[in-house]
Amino acid sequence: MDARLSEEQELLRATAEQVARKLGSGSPEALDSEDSFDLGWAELAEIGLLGMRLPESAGGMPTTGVEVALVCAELGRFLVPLPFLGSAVCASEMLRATGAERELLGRLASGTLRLAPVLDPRLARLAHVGEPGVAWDASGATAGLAVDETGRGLVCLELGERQRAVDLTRAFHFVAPDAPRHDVGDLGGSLDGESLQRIEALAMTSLSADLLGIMEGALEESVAHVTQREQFGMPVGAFQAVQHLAAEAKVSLEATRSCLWYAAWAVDQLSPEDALLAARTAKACAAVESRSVTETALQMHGGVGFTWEYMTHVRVRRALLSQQSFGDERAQLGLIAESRLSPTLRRNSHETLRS
Amino acid sequence: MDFRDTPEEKSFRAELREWIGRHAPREPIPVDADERAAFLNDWHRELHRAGYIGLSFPQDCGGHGKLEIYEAILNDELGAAEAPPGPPIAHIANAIRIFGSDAQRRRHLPTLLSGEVRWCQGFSEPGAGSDLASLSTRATREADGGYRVNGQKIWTSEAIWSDWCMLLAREPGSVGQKGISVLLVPLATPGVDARPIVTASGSREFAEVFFDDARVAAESLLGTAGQGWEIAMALLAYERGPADMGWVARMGSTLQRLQGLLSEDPNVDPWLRIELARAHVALRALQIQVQRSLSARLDGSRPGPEGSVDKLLMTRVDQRIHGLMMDVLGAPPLLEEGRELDLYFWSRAQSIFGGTQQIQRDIVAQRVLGLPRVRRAPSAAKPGK
Repeated sequence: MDARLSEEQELLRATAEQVARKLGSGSPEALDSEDSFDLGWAELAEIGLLGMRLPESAGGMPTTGVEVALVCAELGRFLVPLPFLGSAVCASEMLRATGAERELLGRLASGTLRLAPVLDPRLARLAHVGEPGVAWDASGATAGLAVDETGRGLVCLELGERQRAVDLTRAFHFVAPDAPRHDVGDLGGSLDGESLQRIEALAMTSLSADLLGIMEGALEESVAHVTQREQFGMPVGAFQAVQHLAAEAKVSLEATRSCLWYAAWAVDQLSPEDALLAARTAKACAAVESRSVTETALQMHGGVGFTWEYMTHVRVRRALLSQQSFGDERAQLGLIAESRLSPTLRRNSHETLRS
Repeated sequence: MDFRDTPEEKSFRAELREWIGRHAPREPIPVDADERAAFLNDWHRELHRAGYIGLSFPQDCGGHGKLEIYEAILNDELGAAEAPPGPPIAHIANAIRIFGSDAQRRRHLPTLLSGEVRWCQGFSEPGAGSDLASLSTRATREADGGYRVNGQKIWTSEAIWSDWCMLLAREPGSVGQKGISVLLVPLATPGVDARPIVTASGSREFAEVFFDDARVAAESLLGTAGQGWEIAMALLAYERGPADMGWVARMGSTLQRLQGLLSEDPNVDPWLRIELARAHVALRALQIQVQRSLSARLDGSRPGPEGSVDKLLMTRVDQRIHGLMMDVLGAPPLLEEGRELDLYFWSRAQSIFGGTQQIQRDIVAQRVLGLPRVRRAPSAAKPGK
């Protein structure tokens, strides 16, 4: 057992950090620029980040859940307004699992096509065709992916109007129950139960990573703020009451990182049920801890945290969507309780024991 | 990154699990303090005979020379089996390992690891709790190179059952972190007197230790004269490690018990179900955090200020799990006092001992996050009389 990042993983994280720092949003106004959006997407494609879950035959560079989580965290940390999670992680993973045609996967990897998963209106799970849905993280997406009538295959649906979602860094579109199909190519065959579980595990893990990144950004920004902001003749960050807020935020962040790394590793390494339990554990932890850390960031910023021009609210907004999507803390806890309290499973309290 | 057991770890885990199944005491840990101390010492010796103590200790120090990660495996397995935790000796053992002379290591480590000789840690004083550097117990150098010790220690765990004390004392006239040394003192020394403190749960595992002109030999000095503060900080870093002290096993054991109880109840309160899941998430976070911290030591480095993050997380998890324990068990342990109350009080003390939650937060804020040091009023450190 070795819970450290490998040298290659650390290198990838550093590369992702560099790119994310450049593509991230410095101010709420900058979020509206469409030009930088397309350039940014091309840049992610250029360094291979759009093919992280796609086969080499389609121009992808397949990696494990750990690498995906590292990239998601950096993009979240710098509030990068690109649909990496929606298109490069979720939609790509879904179409790889169904065995969609190579040309289609190739367009995802090269960045010339963007697709978005369609979630139910509660943002809890993938939507089925015929029910109202929300195309999720759909900036620049051509269409949305939902589950078909058989419950096993995928359909591609046209997007409706963009919603006025609180998250300023991602786009969400209505998908009508009778949305017309959109032909992007052969979507492949049907998914078995295991693939569906793994898709869900990867989606929840990536969202937990996004939340970890948001927490890191929030804490860094808050520490910087209280270090330069002076009151009573000294930096407010010299006050113990303020320091203790920051310290607890750091504990929340590291607890989340622990759950996340294990879940990210588990995505490809453990059985689908164990991968799912690890992902639910990470998502439950990330959801509740990111709520508290982003709230702490608001507190540490004082009044300016509530102004439009500071990025604090942009983090809170993005975090709220990530907390809710694919099941909030409460939803995850209910499902975890079910698996922990079922008599057949309860003796195995440590997933690693069975690996 | 690979959370899977290596083949060696896997076979170690399997053997350990099988061994615990055959050897872990079936009876609960006694409530009576003397009986409990004897019971846990027996368990310590049994673990040692089976080769499970000092797993990550160098072989020439009486250990098994395995990677630190094996300590996490031991903790997880003891906890999952609801077995008693291993002995909390890593802090003292590591201090002797790192700072001791060859003679001290050879003399003390084998019997400390085996449980034959029991140790306590004489740090806190009535006037020096969180502000440890204001300690006033003094060690006066004698003509023969030995020391004459005078002063009082408090909160000395297990002192009344211990044979030796790792003592912090200062050179007379010195102030603050300077002039402090560590002495290894036999408790049987004339002039040393340990008296139990009765804790909130009625237990007597803590003591006050009085030093009244106690004569200590020159070779009892650990490290060099004046190195005491550095040694104390290194020791505390180990004491804050959740795996180093067996705390994770304790928490795992409680959660396992609660899970068993709730699984058997067909009408579980939905709120308790959710709280149980929350405790599961918290414990997993701590267990993996421990694996990360131990992995970070694979290159041989020692625990640093990040250990305070672990201590704060451990405190959160301990208090969540043992608070939940009181909720799940309800009235029975309130009407018939048993070890539950003790576990509950211990979880509350978790945010006090080994450096309070507030001290840990100071360390994280200033030394991990780099926030400015709080400007204090001039220190009121009391030099030795």
